[in-house]
Amino acid sequence: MKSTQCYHCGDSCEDSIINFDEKNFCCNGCKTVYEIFSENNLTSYYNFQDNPGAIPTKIEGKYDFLDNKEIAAKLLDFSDGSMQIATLYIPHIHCSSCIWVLENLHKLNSNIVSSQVDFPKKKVRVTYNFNETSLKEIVLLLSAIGYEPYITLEDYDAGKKAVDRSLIYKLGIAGFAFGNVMFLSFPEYFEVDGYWIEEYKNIFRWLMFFFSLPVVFYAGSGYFISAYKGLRSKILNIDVPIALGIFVLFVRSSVEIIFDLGTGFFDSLTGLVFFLLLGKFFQQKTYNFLSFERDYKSYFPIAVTRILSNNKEENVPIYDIEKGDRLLIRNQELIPVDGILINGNAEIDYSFVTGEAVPVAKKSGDKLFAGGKQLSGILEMEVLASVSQSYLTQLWSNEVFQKENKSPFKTITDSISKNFTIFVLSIAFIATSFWLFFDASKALNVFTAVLIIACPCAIALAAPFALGNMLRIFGKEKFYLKNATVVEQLAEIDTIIFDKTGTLTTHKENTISYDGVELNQQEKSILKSSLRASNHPLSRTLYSTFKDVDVLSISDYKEIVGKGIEVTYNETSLKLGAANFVKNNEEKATLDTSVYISFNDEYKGKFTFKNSYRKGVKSLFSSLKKDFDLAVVSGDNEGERVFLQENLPEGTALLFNQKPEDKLEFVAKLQKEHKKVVMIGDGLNDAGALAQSDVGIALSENINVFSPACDGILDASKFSKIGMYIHASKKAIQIIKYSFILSLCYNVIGLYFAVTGQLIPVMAAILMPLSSISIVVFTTVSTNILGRKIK
Amino acid sequence: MSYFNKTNIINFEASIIRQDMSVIYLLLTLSILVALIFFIAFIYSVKKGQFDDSYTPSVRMLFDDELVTEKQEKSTLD
Repeated sequence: MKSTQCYHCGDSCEDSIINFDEKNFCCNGCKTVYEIFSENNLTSYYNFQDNPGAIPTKIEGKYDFLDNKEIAAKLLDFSDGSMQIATLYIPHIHCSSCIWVLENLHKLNSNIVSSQVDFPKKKVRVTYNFNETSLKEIVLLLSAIGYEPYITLEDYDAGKKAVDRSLIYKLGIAGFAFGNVMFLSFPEYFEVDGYWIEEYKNIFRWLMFFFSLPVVFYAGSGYFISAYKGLRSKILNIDVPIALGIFVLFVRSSVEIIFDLGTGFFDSLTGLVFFLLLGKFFQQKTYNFLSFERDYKSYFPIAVTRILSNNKEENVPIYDIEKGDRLLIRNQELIPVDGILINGNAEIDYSFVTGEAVPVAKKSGDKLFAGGKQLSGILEMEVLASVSQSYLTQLWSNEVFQKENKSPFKTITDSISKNFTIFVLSIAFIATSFWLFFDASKALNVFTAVLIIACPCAIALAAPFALGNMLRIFGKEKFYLKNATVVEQLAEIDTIIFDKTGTLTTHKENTISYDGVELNQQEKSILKSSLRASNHPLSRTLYSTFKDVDVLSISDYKEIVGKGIEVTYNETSLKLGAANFVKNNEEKATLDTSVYISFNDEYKGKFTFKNSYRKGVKSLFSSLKKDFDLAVVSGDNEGERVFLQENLPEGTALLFNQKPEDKLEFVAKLQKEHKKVVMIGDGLNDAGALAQSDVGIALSENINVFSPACDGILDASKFSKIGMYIHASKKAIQIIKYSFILSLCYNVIGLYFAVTGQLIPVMAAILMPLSSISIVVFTTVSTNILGRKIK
Repeated sequence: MSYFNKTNIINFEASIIRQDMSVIYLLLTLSILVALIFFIAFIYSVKKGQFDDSYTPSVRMLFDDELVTEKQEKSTLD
């Protein structure tokens, strides 16, 4: 069977090809989007990239809450006169076609004044005339063309975040001053003896002085603050010798030009600050489209439909929901609070919470937990607890989520800087006291020279460049880390804990096993045809397993939501679905998810669904076994214990029936035994353990959409490479140690000149950039070699 | 008294030096002024958020203008 690609979304059109305008579409949704574009002269959308689109989702009533002015106002950036500006997050933004069509929104709705895409953040900023159109209309338009915005509770209370650009300002100022000071120092570097230089060198020197002022007091201010904080908490961090160096450089240089003793070290001073800030800038690799700080708020909707006592519906913000309210949850909507199902057919998908993708059927009177997604039709529920009091959301009141509680990690740079600072200070004092006896006039000169030349610029640069580059390399390999410190923490790991469902298993694939009487060809055909008509996820999965079976046209089809399907074909009737529906008796609750079938009321057998394990789980565990303690914690029952015991190496701890708090406690217990723990999980129920662990890594099938708060996000396709990434982090730390040795060599050379009182400005001006640049080159080259190995 | 007496020569040399110096002053002022203009432009562009998104503009720049789009439209209809 040759599969045809959909012109719009690129999916293969398996059974229903819609031909329109000489192009193939997989569904009516895609065709409609194409029609919208072709009517509005927007078909160049398809020229930038092949099959750029997404199937538009059905959204009846989903955005009605935007009619509520108060809720809508929370989403706006700006509102004035007739103009409103709103920024919307659209996960589907992925190519240049997306940018193009989203920036041409005004052609689809003439009341949109302009729209601007921020590609790295996957956001579009829409300016529109709100007398003529509304935010709801714009959201509906975007959804209709396959760019449904993602609006969550997080947008509701997020104030307008101020962008912190201070590092760019500081870098700009330091660079500007550095360039100019270098240029002004040239005449004295070459020791031009001209009569006029001698006469007017002061103007050069004072200009340099003024250029260095903003560098010391603004660009370098961060180092003084950090050094002060370090000293106050009795830590000699790397910023202490740096701040000391900057201070001494500035004071000595100022004294030299005030008393006309020399030209000062303004070139080294500005260069030092510039290089240090450059390192900071390089280390600051941020993945704008990812968020590492997510809590349940990024999952939950902003508003929900409440049913009033007179049966009227109204949209209320989630925070206003109270115990006893009745809520209406539509298809594909998230249940925001715990409650009791009143009526409607509930098929709840808890995959955000547990990672388990097979939906759970509930009947009226059953308890519903917050975080589940309704998959079939409309349901009504009565609220049992407000948002922050619900079972899942209570987890976030745990103290782990109060950030300050995490003890600060001592970086490799900080641990060397203590010894370094003491060493440098003692050399400075020894050398000074020697010169005090020998030639007192030189003593102060030597003292300052030692502090200047020993300023650990190269040491301070080694870690930012090595780790910053590792961050980029990991990012290319779809392993996204929050910041550079995570690489260092990863290098110290000795214990790895895995979540089971959704982490070791994948919900993209299921293994289906049949247990019962063999079906004949006709029965298979009827079964396949009935499955085809059903939208239930289990039916879809089962359908795809019958590849070489003919499809019949069935006459009598009835789907009883929450129970199963009843079909008649000629004289044969088929029932498939839950046990109590097919067999008319409650089977003892089994641990697995099954679909039962019967023909003409005669029970035939059942299909059992099991999440299949990811490829490479076994080999990953056996390779990790050598260096790490391993554990698997799962919220599920013990159904898989035997299988895991057989397949995972001996000594792997297996824990089942773990509540979210239990997982957190387990991590905390290991940490008390001085273990360094990495937790790898995927659902919101792992959020506590991820926060408690030294490094929390969220595994995600789609990195754009869901992942709980963590230190790193790993694309599920790279799951088997975890071990390699941890080893690469260890190697990166070694590279940093080598560069420390290298930079200490430079320091020894510099110190020789400083101690013997021969340090001249031009020497410092050469030595400092030289050492910095060679460290940068060394770390970058060696981490790149390392990066090539993990590919 | 010849024109080339000592004082005159000194005065002459001094005037050359003074002219030299005024050029240095001028050059210094100009160069710093030019640097400052660029510096202010940089600060202004950071403030306006031009450094916030360094990717999208590079793509946007390559989009065809309206006219070309219409031409392509016609050719697909033909």
